[in-house]
Amino acid sequence: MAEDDSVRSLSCPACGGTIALRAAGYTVTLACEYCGTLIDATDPAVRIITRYNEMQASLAIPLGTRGTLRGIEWEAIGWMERSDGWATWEETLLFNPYEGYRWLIAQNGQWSLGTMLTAAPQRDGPDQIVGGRRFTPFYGGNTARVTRVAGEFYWRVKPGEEVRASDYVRPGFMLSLEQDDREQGWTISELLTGREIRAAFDVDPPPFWIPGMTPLAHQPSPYARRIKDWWPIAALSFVALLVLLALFGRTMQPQMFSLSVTPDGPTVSQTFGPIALPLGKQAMTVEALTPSVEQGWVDIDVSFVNRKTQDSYDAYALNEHYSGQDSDGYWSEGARSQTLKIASLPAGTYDMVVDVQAHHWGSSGNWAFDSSSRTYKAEGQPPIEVNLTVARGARFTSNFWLAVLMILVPPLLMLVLHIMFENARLAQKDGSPADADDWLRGMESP
Amino acid sequence: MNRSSFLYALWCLSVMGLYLTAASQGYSPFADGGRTASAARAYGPTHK
Repeated sequence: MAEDDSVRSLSCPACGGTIALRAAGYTVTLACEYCGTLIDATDPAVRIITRYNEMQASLAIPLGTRGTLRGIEWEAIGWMERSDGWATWEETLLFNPYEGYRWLIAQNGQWSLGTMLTAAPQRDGPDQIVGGRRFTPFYGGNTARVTRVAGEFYWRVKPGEEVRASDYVRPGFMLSLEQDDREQGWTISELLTGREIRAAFDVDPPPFWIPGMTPLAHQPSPYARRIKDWWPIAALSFVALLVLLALFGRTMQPQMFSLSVTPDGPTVSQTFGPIALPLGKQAMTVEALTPSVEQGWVDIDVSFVNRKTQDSYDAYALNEHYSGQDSDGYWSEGARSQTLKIASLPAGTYDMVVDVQAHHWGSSGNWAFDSSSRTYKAEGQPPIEVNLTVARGARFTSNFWLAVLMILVPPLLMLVLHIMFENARLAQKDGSPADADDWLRGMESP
Repeated sequence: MNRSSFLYALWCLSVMGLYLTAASQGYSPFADGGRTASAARAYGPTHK
């Protein structure tokens, strides 16, 4: 295959190695890929600028590698490592004779594609606007220093070169201003997906963020998209559950029973029935109403006893009502009505056995000593009517709310992870700590 | 629909299936009574 016209070969004046000059006519500085010596490619005699023998980079994308990114074939021609004192990142210079230069910026295993802007962004307060997209300030006034370099560049780059850098971000994008005493340049970089960078240059996919890792300034929350995608599914499920609650919660065929009991009198036991449950397993609802209980309580034990198997299904209600006067005025507490829901009674014929005992509380009424129980009991209290309404079926709203909670658990977990991600990302930002507005801004689409 | 949304939809369907099964069996873990029942009882007003 014929060599591209833009590629020319040079001999390294330091080690004699043959170096390919891939962007001939554009490249100003070239680093020998064997010994790391920096060479002035514009000098016909190929003058050495500086030696950098310590450089032994094991590059993720070896120089000379070609890859197709977003439909354009690029060749990696230069590589440098930069640091601002606390973070280190690598920049690979890509070249295409028709498209010019791009940067591949790698940090923490994440890759971004950088494009130099030919015009300065529009300023709007502290923000910068490029193509209608707003970028908010993130870092300002950092000094980025070149620490290692290899390959070809379009300016005279050497280790130790410094620029002042300011970064502006929006989810998925970073706008960088780099300036020194002579010039300033703007670069907009877009975070690449693992699939894109792997398909183009066969590098390892970026690591998935987990708590404890430091995300990039412009890295969008990986959980925000899930939250946005999942909410419609959660809302649809909620509506479906409402429909199921309405369909499966009805009670039917109510039967009413009543008995009366004397306060502090003996326990009244009574059996009602038969109560037929024809199908499978069913719930039962028992409403126990004691309209006349006052300054006392009524214990109501309800048992559904299967006539065939003698299995018993029990429930208990405590109806009580108290009232009085104190310095704050009238007070009352307790409930004269209770609704019992009994779960999963097998099909069959049942008797409802009810044991009821009523008690009086307080000092009103006539009191007499009962020798059998050796306690004082009130006398002359009117009997208390106990009305029981038994119906097949029950609406368990607790099941509904439990199901809603189970449906919400995954999105809520994603929300917590999203907040943790945004807090970790924004902890690097200049200015105030992250708040709810920042968490919401992190939900914006790239 | 991406894979995570599909899995979440599957989770929601499973929850609804469980709900439907419990509803058709008249079951609730929070029922007032059932095959075995026990209740702690306390009497009297709590008004101070």
